[in-house]
Amino acid sequence: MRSSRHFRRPGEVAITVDGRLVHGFPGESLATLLLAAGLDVFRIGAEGKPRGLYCNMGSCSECMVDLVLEDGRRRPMRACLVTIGDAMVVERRAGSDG
Amino acid sequence: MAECAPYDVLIVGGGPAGQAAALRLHGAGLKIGVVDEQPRPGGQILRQPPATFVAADWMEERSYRPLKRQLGRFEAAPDVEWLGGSSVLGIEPGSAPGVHGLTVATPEGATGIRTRRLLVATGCYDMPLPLAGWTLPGLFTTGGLQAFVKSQGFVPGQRIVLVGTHPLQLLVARQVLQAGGRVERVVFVQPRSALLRPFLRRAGGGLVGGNALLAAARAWRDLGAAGTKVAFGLKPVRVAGEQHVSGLVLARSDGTEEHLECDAVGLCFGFLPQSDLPRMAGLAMERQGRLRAFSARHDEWMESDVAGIFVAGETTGVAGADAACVKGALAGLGMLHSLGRISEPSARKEAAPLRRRLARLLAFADLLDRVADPSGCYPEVDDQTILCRCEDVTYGSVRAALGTCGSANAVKLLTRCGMGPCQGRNCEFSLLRLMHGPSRCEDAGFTVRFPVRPVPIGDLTG
Amino acid sequence: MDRFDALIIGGGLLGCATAFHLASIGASVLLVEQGELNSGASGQNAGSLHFQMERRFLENGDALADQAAAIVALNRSAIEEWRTLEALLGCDLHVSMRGGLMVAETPEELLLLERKAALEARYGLDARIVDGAEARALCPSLSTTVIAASYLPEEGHADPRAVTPAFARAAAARGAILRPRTSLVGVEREAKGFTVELDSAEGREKIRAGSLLLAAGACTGNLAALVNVHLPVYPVALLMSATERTGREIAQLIQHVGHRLSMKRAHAGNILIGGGWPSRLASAAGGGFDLSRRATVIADSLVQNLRLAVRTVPLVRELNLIRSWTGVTAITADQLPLAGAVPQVPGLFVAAGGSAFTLGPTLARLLAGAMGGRPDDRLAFLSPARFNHLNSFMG
Ligand SMILES: Cc1cc2nc3c(=O)[nH]c(=O)nc-3n(C[C@H](O)[C@H](O)[C@H](O)COP(=O)(O)OP(=O)(O)OC[C@H]3O[C@@H](n4cnc5c(N)ncnc54)[C@H](O)[C@@H]3O)c2cc1C
Ligand SMILES: Cc1cc2nc3c(=O)[nH]c(=O)nc-3n(C[C@H](O)[C@H](O)[C@H](O)COP(=O)(O)OP(=O)(O)OC[C@H]3O[C@@H](n4cnc5c(N)ncnc54)[C@H](O)[C@@H]3O)c2cc1C
Ligand code: FES
Repeated sequence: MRSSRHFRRPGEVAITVDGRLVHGFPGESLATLLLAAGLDVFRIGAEGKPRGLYCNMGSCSECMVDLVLEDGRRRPMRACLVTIGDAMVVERRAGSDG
Repeated sequence: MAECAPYDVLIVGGGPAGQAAALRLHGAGLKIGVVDEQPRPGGQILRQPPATFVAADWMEERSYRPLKRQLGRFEAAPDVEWLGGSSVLGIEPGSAPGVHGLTVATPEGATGIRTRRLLVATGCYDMPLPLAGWTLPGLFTTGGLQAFVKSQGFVPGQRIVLVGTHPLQLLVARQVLQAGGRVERVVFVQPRSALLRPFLRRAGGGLVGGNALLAAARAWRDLGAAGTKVAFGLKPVRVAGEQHVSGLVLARSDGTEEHLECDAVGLCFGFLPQSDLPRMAGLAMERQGRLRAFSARHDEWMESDVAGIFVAGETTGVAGADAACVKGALAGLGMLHSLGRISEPSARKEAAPLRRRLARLLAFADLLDRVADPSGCYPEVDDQTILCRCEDVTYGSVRAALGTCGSANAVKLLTRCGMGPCQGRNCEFSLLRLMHGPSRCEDAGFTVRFPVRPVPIGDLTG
Repeated sequence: MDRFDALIIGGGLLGCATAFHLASIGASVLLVEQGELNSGASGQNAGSLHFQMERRFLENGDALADQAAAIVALNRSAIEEWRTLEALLGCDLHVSMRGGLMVAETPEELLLLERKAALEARYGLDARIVDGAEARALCPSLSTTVIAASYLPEEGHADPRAVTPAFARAAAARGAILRPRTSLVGVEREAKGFTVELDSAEGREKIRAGSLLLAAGACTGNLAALVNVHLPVYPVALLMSATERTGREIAQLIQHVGHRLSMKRAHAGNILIGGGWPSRLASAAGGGFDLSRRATVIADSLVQNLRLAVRTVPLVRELNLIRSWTGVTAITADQLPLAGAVPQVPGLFVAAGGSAFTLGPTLARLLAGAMGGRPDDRLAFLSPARFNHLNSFMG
């Protein structure tokens, strides 16, 4: 849940996550955007169970996603450290149904 | 990898310690840079909202005021270069005479940075606590959960349960409420008396750290008023859920279980110093506090055993933000002195009151360490529980390996525990605890390897 | 005082595998390891099973290359060894023999490949030279800059974390005693064998042994001083890197004939990148190397190694680097392994140097035979006797 008790957010932006448009607010972290959209599975563990992000401070690497750059190349990033930008394209490592 | 001219002082970490050091150094005509993974300065305690958000009454709790003032001065210092959004991947001590080298992943790619003096002020992180189900989405460290609330205005759950031994969870619970969220319960594993008695015994003495205590007391009162129950003496057994957290199972002291429904859980069992950079650089380390955590050793000026590399803040032992500030200021002074910008007598004179204040703060930190001590509070974990999250290594396979392995490194090699992207930050402490118990664990831990944070190979090759 | 037929110093692959073979033929064996089993080069290497001639033998002139070509015959035995090793030890070693490609990007490099193939053919190894298109058909992840490759279907990789412990378990099951955290500190020669002094947490103790095998990796040269001989074995520190796990496929072992590069996707899914880039050994205060201190990564080595990897298999630039490490192994004066009896000291054997992950199981088997009184001709060219001139005044 996004709270507006202490913050006023600027107008929305949309980024692409696993081929779907997801809305967020400029300046937000990618982790916030994903969790707020209910996309909280970052990968599937060896035991076949979904894995969530853990530390939200860059330490655990459980929030790893791939940014797809304009030339099609991927750049892995920790979602909790990425500030979203307009038209960003992101792929989670859980597949699109996570 | 590109390289730029050397800095006089490079500070890793823009938290209270790094800020205090920078503020002591600024104005002396030095080239100063501060590198931090976070986009904005503040450190963990003051994780700032994005500059694009308009914030009203952000972190208004009284105890944060001095830190916010320091942060304001830091951001206004014109001669302190902010290198945000950049992770330090490794340190190469003495890469040239009198100069230390760092490899830094910036948003534009990796780069080498050289500096005459280096301060490592990388803070601490929540102690990872293996528990059945702790890998499910919806399970967070309490610090991580808090960071969503305070820096993003985002409450990551409809019904939150916080569980642990550290009083910080009272403050976090209140921050959740203030943001409009709901906290089902705050659970302390230790009995109520273990939390309160040490404080009450000291309360008469007008102690430092009183601010923090009052903040916790106010938070407790507010939680009560809002109907959030604070419970004691319950041990977490497992996190329930298939796709997402659906509940937390707690054990009462009589052995019966209680199932709390919730969709988010925060674990709050204390903090461990970020020790990877000092260990990788080969600095002398020591074991500190009741957790016997690795922390960097230093002299009275916060200089490590490698000349020119200084350490401050929680990296040198978890002692709270106020102590981090004082250690940072001492490190700033120490670097100023070692760069020949202040005479020894003047430095000593300035340091004396800081050291007296630090001694009092450390006494308070020791008290907090005792109160929050998780020993005796750890969940029982079965063989199926994952110990190493990155590599999916279970307690069962680690327990089996301990039959033949005599060191953390040997366990790592045999089981892959600690071989993943987190470099062992998630599992090393639990492994050492399993090997020896925290009290007499003198194992040197995993050998820390470059890079201390994962980095895209394309960023390194340009 | 306890007495053993054989005492082995070093709990790496050579030591543990020799212990296994000796115990299998009924010898009483004690193996001592100063640290943990498999904590030396054997647990830190790249895990390549490379049976083609290595480029390091080609880069130092024809004479050395001709001499080294003899190793190809041993490589052929090693192919058979690896095919049957999992069955022999009864466990999964993640052996993958799905081929190896040594790539060339320039016409000069192609010439080198051809010269190599000619040398190998003399010793009965048939690596096939394929063009760029065929190389990419075999391994689609290869870059378009690859113009040719020599392909050997038997090459591949195995898991260094698994192999030595498997030998150790099998040796113990056959009665060998393996003692980690125990080091050799003194040797006295006797009429029939040795009395050696060992040091461990329990204190010092002496034991007797009929024969003594030095398989102490990079420390072997130093240990030889305990028996007053010179063994030209030197430490070298090498760099390895691992990417995060990936689902993207690289079936083969990839090497480069013109540059130091080896790559593979290991069992767990990480791509391992190496190829012999140097790291920096710690030096001791009074001169020499301090092998008790960790070797350090040379930043420039790392970047160059990774650049080569990206150039050869471009997808790796999209993966995280999660770990670079240094491993210390042994190199001999002529780069060939040293394996066999030391002529100056009856009962003393040595096994060190070379690419002894690939060759380790084979060398150990042949060496155990020699220690048991049945020397094998295939080891003759690796005998320490080739350095007799160093020991004219020793022994
Ligand atoms: C998640 C979390 C939340 C916390 N919340 C509170 C709280 O609300 N109240 C309280 O009293 N205490 C809190 N603490 C304890 C608190 O961290 C300290 O008391 C205080 O912030 C320590 O100051 P510091 O300067 O030592 O470190 P920090 O404030 O942690 O600053 C260290 C900085 O270094 C950066 N860093 C670390 N490693 C690297 C690297 N390799 N490369 C680049 N940058 C790096 C980090 O991003 C961080 O900004 C929290 C701790 C954590 C981990
Ligand atoms: C980074 C790297 C990559 C490599 N890649 C490959 C590859 O892909 N393919 C390949 O074929 N080869 C490779 N090698 C080489 C290969 O790993 C070695 O040749 C092989 O492991 C040697 O085995 P060893 O048993 O002789 O030595 P080690 O595994 O080093 O074992 C020697 C042991 O002796 C112990 N010791 C030393 N002194 C004493 C003492 N006084 N008392 C008791 N014990 C002692 C040491 O602690 C050590 O454990 C690589 C090596 C490195 C370092
Ligand atoms: S959640 Fe731990 S690194 Fe992002």
